[in-house]
Amino acid sequence: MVIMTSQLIIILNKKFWFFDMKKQRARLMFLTVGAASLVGTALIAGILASLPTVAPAAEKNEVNLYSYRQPGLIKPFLDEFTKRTGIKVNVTVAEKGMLERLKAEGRNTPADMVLTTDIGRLSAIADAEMLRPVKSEVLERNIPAHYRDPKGVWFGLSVRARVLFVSKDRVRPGEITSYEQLTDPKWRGRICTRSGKHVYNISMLAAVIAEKGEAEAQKWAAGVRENLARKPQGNDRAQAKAIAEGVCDVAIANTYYMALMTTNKKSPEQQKWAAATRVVFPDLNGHGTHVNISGAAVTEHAKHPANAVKLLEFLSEDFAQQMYADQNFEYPVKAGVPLNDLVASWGKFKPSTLEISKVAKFRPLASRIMDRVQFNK
Amino acid sequence: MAIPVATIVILAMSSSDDIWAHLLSTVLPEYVMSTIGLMVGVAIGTVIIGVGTAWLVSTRDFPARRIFEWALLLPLAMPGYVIAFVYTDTLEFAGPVQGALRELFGWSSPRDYWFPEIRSLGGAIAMLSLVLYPYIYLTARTAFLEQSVTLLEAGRSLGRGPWRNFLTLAVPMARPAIIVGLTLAMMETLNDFGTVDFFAVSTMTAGIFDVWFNMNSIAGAAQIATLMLLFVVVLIVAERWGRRRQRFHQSGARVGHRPLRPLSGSNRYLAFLACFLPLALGFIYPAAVLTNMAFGEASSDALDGFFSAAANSLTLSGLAAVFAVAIALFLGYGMRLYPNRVLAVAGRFSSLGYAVPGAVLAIGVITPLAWLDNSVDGFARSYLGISTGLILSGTIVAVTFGYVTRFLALSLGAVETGLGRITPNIDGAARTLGHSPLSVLRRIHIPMMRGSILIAVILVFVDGMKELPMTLILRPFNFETLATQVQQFAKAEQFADAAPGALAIVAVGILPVILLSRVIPTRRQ
Amino acid sequence: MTGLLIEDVQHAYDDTTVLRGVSLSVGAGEIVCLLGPSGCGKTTLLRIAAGLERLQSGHVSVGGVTVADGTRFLMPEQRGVGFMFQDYALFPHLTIQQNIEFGLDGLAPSAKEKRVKEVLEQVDLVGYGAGYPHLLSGGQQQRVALARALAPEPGVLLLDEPFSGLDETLRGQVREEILVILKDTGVATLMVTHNPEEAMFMADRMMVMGPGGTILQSGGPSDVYTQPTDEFVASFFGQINKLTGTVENGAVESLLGSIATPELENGLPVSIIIRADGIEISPDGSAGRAITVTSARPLGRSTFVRFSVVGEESDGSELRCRLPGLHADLVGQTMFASVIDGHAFVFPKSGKA
Repeated sequence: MVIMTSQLIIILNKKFWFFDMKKQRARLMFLTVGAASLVGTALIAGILASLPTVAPAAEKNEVNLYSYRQPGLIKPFLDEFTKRTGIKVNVTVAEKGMLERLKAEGRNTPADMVLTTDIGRLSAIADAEMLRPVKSEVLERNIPAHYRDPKGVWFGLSVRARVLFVSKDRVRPGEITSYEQLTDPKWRGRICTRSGKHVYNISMLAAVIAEKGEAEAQKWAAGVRENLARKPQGNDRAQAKAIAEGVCDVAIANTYYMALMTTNKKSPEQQKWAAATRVVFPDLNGHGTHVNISGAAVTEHAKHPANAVKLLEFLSEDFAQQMYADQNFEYPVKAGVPLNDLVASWGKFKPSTLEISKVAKFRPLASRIMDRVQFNK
Repeated sequence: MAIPVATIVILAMSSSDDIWAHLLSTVLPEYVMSTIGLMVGVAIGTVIIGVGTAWLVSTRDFPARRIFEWALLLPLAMPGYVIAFVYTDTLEFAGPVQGALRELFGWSSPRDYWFPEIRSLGGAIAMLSLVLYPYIYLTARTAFLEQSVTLLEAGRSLGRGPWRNFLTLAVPMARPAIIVGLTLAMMETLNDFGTVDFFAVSTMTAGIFDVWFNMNSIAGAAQIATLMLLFVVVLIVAERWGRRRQRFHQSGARVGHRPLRPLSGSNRYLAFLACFLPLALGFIYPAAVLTNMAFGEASSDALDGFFSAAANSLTLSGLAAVFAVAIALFLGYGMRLYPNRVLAVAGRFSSLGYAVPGAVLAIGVITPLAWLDNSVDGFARSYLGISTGLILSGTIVAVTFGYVTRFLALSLGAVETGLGRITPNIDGAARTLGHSPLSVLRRIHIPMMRGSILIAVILVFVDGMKELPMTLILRPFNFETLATQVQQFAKAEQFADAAPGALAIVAVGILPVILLSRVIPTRRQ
Repeated sequence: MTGLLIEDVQHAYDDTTVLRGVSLSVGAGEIVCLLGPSGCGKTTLLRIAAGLERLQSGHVSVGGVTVADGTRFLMPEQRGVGFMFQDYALFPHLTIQQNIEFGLDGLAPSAKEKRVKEVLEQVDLVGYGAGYPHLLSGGQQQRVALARALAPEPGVLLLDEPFSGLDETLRGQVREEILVILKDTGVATLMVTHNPEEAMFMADRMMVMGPGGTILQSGGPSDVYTQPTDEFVASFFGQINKLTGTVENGAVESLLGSIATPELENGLPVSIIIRADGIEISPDGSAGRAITVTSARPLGRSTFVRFSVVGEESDGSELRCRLPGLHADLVGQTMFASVIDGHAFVFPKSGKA
């Protein structure tokens, strides 16, 4: 094919030499034609090669998912869904650029549904008007109102609390009970956390803004920064590790990491880190512990909206909710679904009733405050 | 090919509100300083390692020299994010090194002693230098091999010692080649996110993602990316300048077979050590750690879909390599046939893609592709009453297109260097013997630049195997490559399960590297 | 029939004009040499003839067919013009055989083989076909380049400085061989060189091109040598003495005596060019001016002598000449010098000079 193309170019080329005296244009033409035919050939070859994946899916019993969540974590859910309904789930996972891809694809997007690990991403997609409202009694029954969008555009599926891991040896029970106390000078050089710019920390600071206003929140962030034992780094597990190693005494982290470490049979190391620490559910402004949600929504231009709603409903029902609890060690949104034993052993806590959509709104501001206080420096 | 980069520049033109004022007054100075610090550090590191080892293996004889000739390229196959992970594991508090030190000196907590923090700017510089020096080694070695022996002998006869000869003659003569390699290394440094993110170094790349996701401003992110492109433009001007000089060089000097100078006594071992150290640190140790993990700790999950992912990786990298080189040949040969400013600028511009972080470039790819798809679809809907849907977006065509845009700098550089070595009279001779330009390309240039083309193919292929951020965004449904699998396991903190994939990327990278090494010494006849 | 016809070719690179209205023709079987200093545009002219450089203005035809003019441009591969490059431009990745076959694409394999054998015989390289170019000596490479250019039996052969890559001893031998081959094949040949001796040796007809990109003189080699019509042409063949003077009564008075200038006006300031071998010196003073020899360097066949004129006409400048035979002992001697008849060339002083 490439050879044919080259022949064509030769012929065209000759013609232009003979008849077109504007040689600059002829040259550009030669190259444009050359490059275009090359790219064209590539595209045709590519389309032929990939037709099965792009063939119109209207009649197919499937649903297409753009996921921010790692495939390993969602696969068991989706397999079960397929087993029960016969609907095949196609997944593409990416943390960055999904929103832009959705926007660019516009009305032709293949995505029926998006799945995210936090409210920030979900609300950004909602703000870009890439989602459609869903009216479903099942969803409304299963998911408490403050964990879903009032207009039914997005739905929280599991709750994750951002808590404190504290050293069993060096921090007495009751010594710290609130986020506000993190700025107390007694913790100078004793606090660890991951990057201040990580979505989890941004959401946490956004919650502080929602509760106490910008000025107080900035003071709080600066205070926490003052008390850091080291430059923010690593992930949440690395903070528990740092406590185990004696680098710091208090760490900010998500609950399920504690469970993941405790139950990690492959890495006895991590069990040691977990053993050295204790979970504390801190309070924020008297309204309870800051929580984030993982959630999902149906896209504006979904080709299989009915299937997408089915999947959404499936994820809110007992079976999936129990998996969120047992496999991911998160807190199920559906009332009455029992917690995982290990998670339950950390004790009951009061999740903040702050509307999750408010937290989302303050994220850009939270990011700026992190910059202003030079949190990561 | 220039479209994705242009898209980013266009994106940057939309308003980003007051983000710049905010950034300027807070973190931007730090971003810029870290970026410059990183670039300067990596430049120094890669030049010292790359030029030093290239000089040793091309002019001196010492134990295992023949093995080092090719083995020194191996770190090229090691992804930056993998080596960063391996060294963090080794050198952090709980790692074996500090553990052994504590054991030895009876320390117990980190407050008892000082140890260099691996998660730092210095750490990032070290990691990137270890995996990027082969670019300079590759170009510098070729230059040293092609250097006129008589010039260097003249230097010696004028009373310069070997060391001064090296610094004042050999290195300056090889400068254009070194700059070519350095430009590639610098562009890789700029587009790196994995390593700096892992080490919590706030470079401009880190800033891009912060502005993009936390401040929801793709425009602001594109603006920082465009600012970074300025860095690259400086690099490219430097490279152009180097290339021009190189052409001059090639026509001048006659090449003689350079006798290797045998080293004596302890110098032999010093030379051995100088070559062994970067190889050991940049390849052998991390590969050993990975192997150990892959065979010792990995669970059966690790092999789930491993083969299809490997097949996808091979296909994509192969396609990208073929197209990137074909397009580079077209562009390079086009510029040779019709030297033309517009074309030259277009070529340069499209190779900027290499310096843009993959995720950002992916937006530059998806936006125009989807626009094209939607336009075709709109046309079909209104005139034919049918919907064609997305023809290109979300297919391997999109991913391949992305790879080609990203790696065109590699192939174009290699192809241009190769073409530059062929005197225009060769073209003239072939043309007057009755052959058309394309026939000349096929029968004369391509066979004559086999070496350069192979280098181009290999560089793109190896980089394609490692590519992660673009693949994530552009890929079709249910599509995994080795790199995305590694990332997936690593995200889930199943590092041991990530090892087989990482090892496979490295292993696939090694094969062409060895092939490459077989090409270089024999390239001059 | 005309092999190559070039008419009124103008050419410029960016703002620099290198050819100004050059016209020339080469007949079948004829060897025309274009002689000129480096950088005068001769190679550009060859490249234009071959189609390697785009014609900007003028007209080029090969074998009576227009290959380039204002509206037409035939690609080099369609012109049937052979080109031999200064650096030979042999394809390093092909064997000698393959190099020569490269221009024979249209032929059947057996015909190809036959033709390659023929040209290899012609250039006396039978048995070298399987080797690669880098294994050959300079002279052999040059003959391969010629064989390759001749293999497709082009109507016109263009040679760009064909002997410049060879050392002195080889050069004489190779050009004799090549002259024979060219004469044998009868191809119309245009050769470019900056070496006057080479040009005179090869040429049936010779053209001298000046640094301004124009042809200053053309004609048979000995005509051009003995009757230069231009100061530049006269000076181009080896070492010269340049004197000045003014025409008075149909003659000009020079350091070495009066030179007749019947065609020039009275009072015209002129340059006088006398080649080094156009001066005779002898111990016997009947014909010439008295001189003192300042240096004498034996060269083999002749001795290179520098001298100054004795007497009030002398302006102290030194002149040079070649004296046949070996004379090492002349320094300091007084001798007598005169211009050999017809070896002094007088030209009106050019405006610029």
